[in-house]
Amino acid sequence: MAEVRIENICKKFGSVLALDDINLTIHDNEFVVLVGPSGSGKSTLLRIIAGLEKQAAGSVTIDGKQMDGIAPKDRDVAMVFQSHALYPHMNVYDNLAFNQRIRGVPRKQVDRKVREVAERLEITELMKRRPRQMSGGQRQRVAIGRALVRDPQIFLFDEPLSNLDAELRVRLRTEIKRLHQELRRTSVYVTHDQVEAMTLADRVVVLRDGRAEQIGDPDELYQRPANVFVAGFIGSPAMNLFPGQASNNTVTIGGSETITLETERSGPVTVGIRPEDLLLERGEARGTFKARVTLIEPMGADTLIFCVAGDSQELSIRVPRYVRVRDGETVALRPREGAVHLFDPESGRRLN
Amino acid sequence: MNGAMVNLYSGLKYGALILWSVFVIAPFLWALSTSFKSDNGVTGGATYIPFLEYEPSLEGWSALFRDTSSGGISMQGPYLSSLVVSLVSSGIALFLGTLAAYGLSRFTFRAGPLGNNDITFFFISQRIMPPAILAIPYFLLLRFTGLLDTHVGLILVYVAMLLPIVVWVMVDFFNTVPIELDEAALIDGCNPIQAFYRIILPNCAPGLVVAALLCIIFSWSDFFFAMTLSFAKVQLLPPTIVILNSNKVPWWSLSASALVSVLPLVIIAFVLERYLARGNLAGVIRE
Ligand SMILES: Nc1ncnc2c1ncn2[C@@H]1O[C@H](COP(=O)(O)OP(=O)(O)OP(=O)(O)O)[C@@H](O)[C@H]1O
Ligand SMILES: [Mg+2]
Repeated sequence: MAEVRIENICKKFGSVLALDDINLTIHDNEFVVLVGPSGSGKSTLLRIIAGLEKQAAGSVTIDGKQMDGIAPKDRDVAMVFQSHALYPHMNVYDNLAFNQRIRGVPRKQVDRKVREVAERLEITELMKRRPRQMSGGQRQRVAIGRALVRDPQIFLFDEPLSNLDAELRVRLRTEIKRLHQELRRTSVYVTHDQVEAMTLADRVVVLRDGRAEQIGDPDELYQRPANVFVAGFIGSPAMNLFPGQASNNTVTIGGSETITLETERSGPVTVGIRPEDLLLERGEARGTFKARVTLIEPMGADTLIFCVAGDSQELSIRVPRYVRVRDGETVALRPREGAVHLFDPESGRRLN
Repeated sequence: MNGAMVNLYSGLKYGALILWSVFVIAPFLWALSTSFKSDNGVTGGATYIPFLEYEPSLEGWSALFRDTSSGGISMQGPYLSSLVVSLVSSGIALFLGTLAAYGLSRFTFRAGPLGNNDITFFFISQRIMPPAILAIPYFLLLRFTGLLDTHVGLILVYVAMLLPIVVWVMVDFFNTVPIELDEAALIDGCNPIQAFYRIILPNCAPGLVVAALLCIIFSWSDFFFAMTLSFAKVQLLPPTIVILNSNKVPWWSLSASALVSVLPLVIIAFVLERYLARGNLAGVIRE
């Protein structure tokens, strides 16, 4: 049982404001992912939870207990690092056992725990190896094992899969998700990979420049991004954004094409439409606009089509694989009803 | 490369190595043979093979342990003093220097506009001054504190001379160890001191060996401070040997004492050498 409450956390490095008034409550058993571009403060927030970094203001509370002045070792957290940080001078067994030994757990018990974890992660044959004698994937597995042996209240992950190749990353990602389903431990996971964020998280925190841009479950983030930044960051390819004009419950983009939408707003807006929410139409029809196909990327299950509308408005469309279009063809596009996002062009905030 | 090329290459390589070995070892062999000679063995032209070319004698060796009154130099006292002074000062310098280096590598210090690098450079800059400049201040300082011509005084001076070396070597080594290791240890259950000596220090063993060797070599073979800061109550080995050099040089005792005095260094080098192998850290730093 562990609930982490983060209240008004600020952190400065010299003149850089790394975290700016972060508020977040991580519920018991919840898997929260911190996502954001490089330098957005993800690691810093994680390290403040771990006690490796001290906040300038605000407080971290774990299970109702103030964490100020409590050493990392006494917070009952375990952490997996991007660089795995296995102890180079110890073999796998000792790496796994070290945290138990230093905490004075009896020998027999340590041995049992280590073997149990090794079995679960299928690293039993590696027990005698040193970190340098293993592959990147094996090392990261051992690093996860080291955290598991602890059986902590809270798991912290700082981009544990970033250094691995694509295939291994997907495999370990699934494994981490499965572990969480079994163990049900409060987890905080840092990544800059939005696919990882979407697949693993119960809730996602999108950070930018030290501020939480949006906190919500993956669906919410995808379907109702709170602002232009989140809209552009979550989803691949990114959401198409067009400049437009709103008046009388209609929105006009690119001068002529209009979309009917309930909005009290009138004046300039930013219109966001996801690639899969732009539908291909043959021939002319009301409510469509034209675009010229410039690049086609078949992805297997579906196909990505890149187009240019008007003079220079680039956009991308995702269509099922059986839809055939030709390079250079002009297509008519219709936004899917109810899937159009409106943002304030000045503040970037969501309007509908 | 084809077979002939490989042979030629390894032939050249071993040739060069043998040449170098001869260059390094020959003086020792020469000293060894000289140490068993007596007066006419040395002056009667170059001879190398005992019994055949010259009559071996133990005079050179026995003089090492005889009293000065009976023509010896009684080396035992200075030898012991040198051992104590160099081991103790090296130990203290290693202990303090390693801790200082760890601090400089891991924490941020500020003194006005000065930061970690400036402090590190300040340590190293202590060795920029030639020892001759330091001799008089040290002499006055030790006389003022009553530590002139004592083991403690010499040890203090050597610690001051050795610290920069240790800090310099160890800061470099600690900087190669990623800070995530400290952090992993702290989370795993170590306090900062345990993280230091259970995780970080073992991974810097080669650095520690290098620093230890440099310390012992310097303090063991230093002549200058030993000569200027001690004279009656405490005598260190290097000045003692040099005194042999006075009017009529007893080459045999000089050779014997030279051999005896390098012996500890050779032993220590052999013992420490196997810790010099690096490689543990490979694969720890992000690839
Ligand atoms: N020890 C430090 N000293 C100075 N500045 C720091 C330090 N650690 C982080 N910063 C700064 O704080 C900001 C946030 O850094 P942080 O490491 O939390 O980013 P991040 O989101 O984890 O990025 P990445 O995805 O690259 O790991 C950055 O601007 C970074 O330069
Ligand atoms: Mg980071």
